Amino acid sequence: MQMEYEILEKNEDFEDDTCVKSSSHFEQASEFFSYLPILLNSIDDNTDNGEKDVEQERILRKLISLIDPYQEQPYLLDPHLENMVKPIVDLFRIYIKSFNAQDLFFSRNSKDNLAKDNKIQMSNKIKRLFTLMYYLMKIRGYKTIVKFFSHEVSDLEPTYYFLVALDSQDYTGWEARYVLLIWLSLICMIPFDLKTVDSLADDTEGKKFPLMDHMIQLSKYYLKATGKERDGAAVLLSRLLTRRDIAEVYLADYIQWAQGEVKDNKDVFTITGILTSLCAIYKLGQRQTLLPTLEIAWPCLSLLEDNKIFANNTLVRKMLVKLAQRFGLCYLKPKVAAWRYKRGNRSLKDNLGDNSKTTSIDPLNINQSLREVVDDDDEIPHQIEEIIEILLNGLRNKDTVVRWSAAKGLGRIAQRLPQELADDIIGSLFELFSENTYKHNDVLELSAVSDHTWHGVCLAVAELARRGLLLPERLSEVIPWVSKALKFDLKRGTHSIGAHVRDAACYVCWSFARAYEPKVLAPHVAELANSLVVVSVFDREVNVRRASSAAFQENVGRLGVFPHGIDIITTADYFTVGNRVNAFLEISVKIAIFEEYKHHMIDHLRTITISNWDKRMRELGAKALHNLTRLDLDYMINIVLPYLIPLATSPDMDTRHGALLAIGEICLSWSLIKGNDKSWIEEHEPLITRISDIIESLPDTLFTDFGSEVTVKAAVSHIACLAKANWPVTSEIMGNWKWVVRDLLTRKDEIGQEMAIDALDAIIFHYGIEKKEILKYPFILFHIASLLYLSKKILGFVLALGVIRYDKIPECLELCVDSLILSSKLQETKMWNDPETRRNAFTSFTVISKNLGESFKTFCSKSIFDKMIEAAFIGLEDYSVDLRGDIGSWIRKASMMYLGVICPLMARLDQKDPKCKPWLSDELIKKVFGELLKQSVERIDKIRTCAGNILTELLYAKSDDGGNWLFDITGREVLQSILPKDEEIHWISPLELYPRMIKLLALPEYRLEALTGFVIAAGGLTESLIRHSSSTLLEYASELPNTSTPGTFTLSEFANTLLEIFRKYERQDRVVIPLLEVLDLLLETETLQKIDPNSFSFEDLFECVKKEARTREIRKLDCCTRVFCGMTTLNEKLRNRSLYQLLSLLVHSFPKVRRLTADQLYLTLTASIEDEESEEMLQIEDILTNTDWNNPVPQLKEIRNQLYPLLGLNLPVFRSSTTS
Amino acid sequence: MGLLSILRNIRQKEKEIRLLVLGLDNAGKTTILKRLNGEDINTISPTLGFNIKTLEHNGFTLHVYDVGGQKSIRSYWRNYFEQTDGVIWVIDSADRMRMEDCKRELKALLQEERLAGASLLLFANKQDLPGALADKHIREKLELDSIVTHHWAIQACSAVTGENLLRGMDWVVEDIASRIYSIE
Ligand SMILES: Nc1nc2c(ncn2[C@@H]2O[C@H](COP(=O)(O)OP(=O)(O)OP(=O)(O)O)[C@@H](O)[C@H]2O)c(=O)[nH]1
Ligand SMILES: [Mg+2]
Repeated sequence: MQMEYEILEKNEDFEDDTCVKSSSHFEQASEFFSYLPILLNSIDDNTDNGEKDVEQERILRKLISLIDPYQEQPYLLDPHLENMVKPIVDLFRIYIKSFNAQDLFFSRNSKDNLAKDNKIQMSNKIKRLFTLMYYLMKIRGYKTIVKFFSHEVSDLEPTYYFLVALDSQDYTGWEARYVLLIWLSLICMIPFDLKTVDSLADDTEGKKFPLMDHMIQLSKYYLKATGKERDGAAVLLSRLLTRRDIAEVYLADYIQWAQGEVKDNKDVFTITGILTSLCAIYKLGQRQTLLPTLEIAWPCLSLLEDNKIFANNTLVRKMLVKLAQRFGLCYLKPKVAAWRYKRGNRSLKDNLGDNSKTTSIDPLNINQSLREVVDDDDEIPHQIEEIIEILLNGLRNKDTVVRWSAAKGLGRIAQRLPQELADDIIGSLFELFSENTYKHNDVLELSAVSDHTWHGVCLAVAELARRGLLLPERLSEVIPWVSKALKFDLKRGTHSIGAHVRDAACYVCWSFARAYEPKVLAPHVAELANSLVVVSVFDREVNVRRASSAAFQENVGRLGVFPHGIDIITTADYFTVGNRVNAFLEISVKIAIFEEYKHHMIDHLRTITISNWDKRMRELGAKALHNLTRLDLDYMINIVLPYLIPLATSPDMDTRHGALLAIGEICLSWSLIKGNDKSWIEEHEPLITRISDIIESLPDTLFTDFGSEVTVKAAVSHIACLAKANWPVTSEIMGNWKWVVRDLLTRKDEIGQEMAIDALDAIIFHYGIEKKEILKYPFILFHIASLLYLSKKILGFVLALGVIRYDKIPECLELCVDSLILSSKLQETKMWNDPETRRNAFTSFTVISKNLGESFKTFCSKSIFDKMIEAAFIGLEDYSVDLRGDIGSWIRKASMMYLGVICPLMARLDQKDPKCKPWLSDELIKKVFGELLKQSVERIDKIRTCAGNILTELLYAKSDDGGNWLFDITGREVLQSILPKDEEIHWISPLELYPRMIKLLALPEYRLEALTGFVIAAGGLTESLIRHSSSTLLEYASELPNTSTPGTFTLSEFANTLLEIFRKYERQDRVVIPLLEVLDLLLETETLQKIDPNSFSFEDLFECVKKEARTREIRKLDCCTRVFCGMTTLNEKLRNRSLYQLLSLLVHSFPKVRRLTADQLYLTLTASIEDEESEEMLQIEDILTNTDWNNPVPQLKEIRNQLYPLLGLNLPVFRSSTTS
Repeated sequence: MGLLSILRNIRQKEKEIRLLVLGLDNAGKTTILKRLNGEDINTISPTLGFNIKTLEHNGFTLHVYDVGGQKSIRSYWRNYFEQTDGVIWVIDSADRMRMEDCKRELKALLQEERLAGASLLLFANKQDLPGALADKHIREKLELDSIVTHHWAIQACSAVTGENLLRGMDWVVEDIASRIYSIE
């Protein structure tokens, strides 16, 4: 079966035009709160049944789906959280208290309190609420959600023992266990001595008490869980163990235990669980309490030495870096940085305008002076050095999360260090930047550095900078590194790496805005602003462009020192830089208007972009240079072109390509600026000559070697630009250019051919072409057939014929048109067929017509015109297929496009010359509309769209004098009502289209074509297409009147049209098979049976089907069988004739056909014969169903022959040869 | 994680402020919070544990912790100090007897290193009562001018009438918001 192919349309550069859908509030709130009560009320509903269960499950999923989209902006849920969480928690409390789990626990021997049979089984209903709660925590963060939970003393024991009593292995209950652990972490913040809360505690024991023993034990158990409970347990443990009363008694033991596990345990879940708990403890706890435990915990940092199996585990590595940071923070006292307040306002909005709002507390009652406590004599523990080492190393880790964690850690620790020590860290960061760099010709080479390290270091610099730890004195050292990082791009084979480094460098620039006063940054503003602008506009990656524009904006907003800052941030914002083409071609021009940025931008394009590994970038860079030329032509002439010219012959292929394109674009722009003033040509003669010579100076090998494709294309683009610029060249150079263009034209690559045609078009337009050159083109030969083995090469030349300006050499027109017509035709020899060539022929027709335009009739005779039109009609019948599918559709499309251009052109010319007989006769116009209508109900949606658009355009075209329709066609009213002018018609949607277009059948003028289109679609292959087209068609037919009132369309006329199609497309399976399918449907639905036999000849129809049944195509035979079966219901005569056909198909040489026929026949007979119980009928059924139709034919014939008398038929006389 | 998501996180975090409301028992802490939140203030009983309220204020989300002030509870205050952006210290201006107590507890609190850098708002509450000390007297009694480790402000107010509560809140939120980075 063939597939319906679509012609792929290129859609580069828009990949990045995504904008995150963001909302301003929780839009689904009311929906959420209408569903939530159903789950809440379900708890009290005891009339359980499976249906309700399913329904409630559905509601749970619905609720989750309502909040899930807020993962990115979860704070939008905040105003509703209380109403979401509280009612659920209230139910949890009631549910939990109803179990009295602690009584269960106390009444039992403590040994079996974890035994399975004593577990509480939660109902599905309560589990659902826990699941919902888990999702709330996941989306908004447990910290925010848990604040709405209750936390009274009386909550502690019931909740805890309830958790104890849950089955820890129940895999549908983990959400509940997680939520309960988190809840407990809140409850245990109650400001009471927990021992007094413990019902089991007695006063005589020591400081430990049973409840806490158990809770820690249970938490440790869940710390090893493979699921989410692990995190819950870590949170709970950290809360418990950092309470001062508990810490005193339990903390050291826990740390000891944890350290032992970390050393020996091989289970990755346990290890991550424990590390998570340690990180949380050292974050939450009080420094004084934690300090003594650090010594015990310290060995955890060398986990990877003891426990090598985790060396490659990202999570473990990240947590170790984090733990190192926490340890560090424990060793060091927090410091207050008074300057935090002195850098303007945190909120940009305030800075950019509205400063009116001031606090209304009496200023005398306010103290805003801050004394920083500086006790520099505080000794820095020696461990800090080791910790910093770990963190610095973490910056080079291969995993982003590890580097990120290390960077944050360094920032936080440095903040607590004395200035000199913090500055040492900065020094180390610079060393990391320069790691593996080397000087080459006095230029710093980065090709050997690690992108990981640079990324990590940038993050760290940013973290330090935004905390004010990067002192102003260091700025001049760091800025050169940052500038390099902003443009970091290392070639690696056929691509490059470094987008993450550039992104992190933007973070550094962003943090500068936060940390420095304008005057500190002032000396560096020019460099920073320029780099950021260039990255915002010319980076390859959308996220980097956006990051850069965000950093730029922060600097403008806070410091206000960037030149033209406000103008630029309104031009290059998050959205506008999202689309790369837009950024390169539009925004760049708007920014380069400012002198401060112009040259830096141009320089970036000429030195960096034109050598980018990505071809698309080089192309865009060249186009951008074209646009920027308008802003500074002198700079282009004096600096850029002289720089680029040598690069055009660079040994690096990418650079060569970029330079050739860029030179071409700049020169084209140059000539456009100068317009008719040609004085520049003399003025810059030496430069112009150098440019003219470029193509000549490219070594021949570049055009022949492997990979020459890229260079040839670049050269042709270059030539196209220069030709469009009407570049002054010698005939020698022109010969060279033509040679290069022809080279590309003969290559197989279609994009290349299009480029070559573009160049050729410009060359012919500006410099002309001679007849003898045309004649050299290989296809201008009527012995084209002998050359067709070159078909792929020919197809470029077919396009070339289109761009010749025949008004300049009219004598060539007919010759060329004839060649085109020849190549537009299907060739007898399949091998010579090439659909692209045929398509291109019509494309060339279009171009020729457009180029001749008003003077069409002057240069083109009527007979040539007629030939072209005729060829186009033949093209519309091109339904050829190959492995790629319906490739004929390309040709049909090109023919339609041609008709769409030539018809209005010719109609207008005809009107201008009313005395002459019009070239475009009414007959012709009618035919064009009919063909377009047929294509507009086609099966391929692109074709429908193309036909439909041209159709409406022609329908509503007005003549030049304004008032009248350009085309005076029959049936205009009906057509206009079907295709109203102002309505957008979705040609691709079968659902919309077919019911609309079926009304066309009422127009006798277009009936045949339209019905053919419908039939093909209805018998087609696409599910939705068949559904809508066939149901529309059947419905329509069944409603047609059966009487023959003149002027109305009747059922018999409908049938007659079908017959006409049969005859027109005899043995053309593409049409006939769908037609048979449609007939089958019409018979099955007893539509045809209604026809007045006097107005339609069923015999003729039968004969047509019979003719088609002579085939070896199984699908078609199957259709025929079904139609014959259907025809048995028409009348006695046809019944018999059909049965004869069917009985002969029963002994067809294909077993499959025999089987299909037997089945169909059986179904038909049992359905139609009233007297089911008759003796004959039983025998017939027996024969049809119990015969193995796979048996040899002679044997089957005997059996089959029994059927004739049984069906009341005479045994036919068989030719002797077939009965042996 | 790229800059755009870092910025999203930073912006989100900057919009969230954690406040701790402390002071002697009966000072009116819970009443102030309920008043700010528009709740009924007639049924308030001494806080035997802690309350967490989430309030919206000038576009910021305030997570406010209100812990009971009874003597037995005070030693547990420290369990709530983590990552506190601001402390609201509430004083019963009419309770002249316990000003010494109040001063001592406040001094002790400000020693706490985890509160270093937090903004301090003092509410001289219950100004509606006869005999309430004026803010400038309280400022003297509590020796506020010796506090140089924190930005602070004192505001006379009444939780019952609601008078001047917003002024105080405006100041503390503004002061916190004008820092370049938050407490971590
Ligand atoms: N007249 C007057 N009474 C107030 C004012 N504020 C609070 N009160 C009363 O003071 C009493 C204690 O108020 P709470 O809000 O419970 O005090 P608290 O600081 O929360 O006390 P603890 O929870 O025990 O620490 C209540 O009876 C309140 O009605 C006020 O501004 N004026
Ligand atoms: Mg209270």
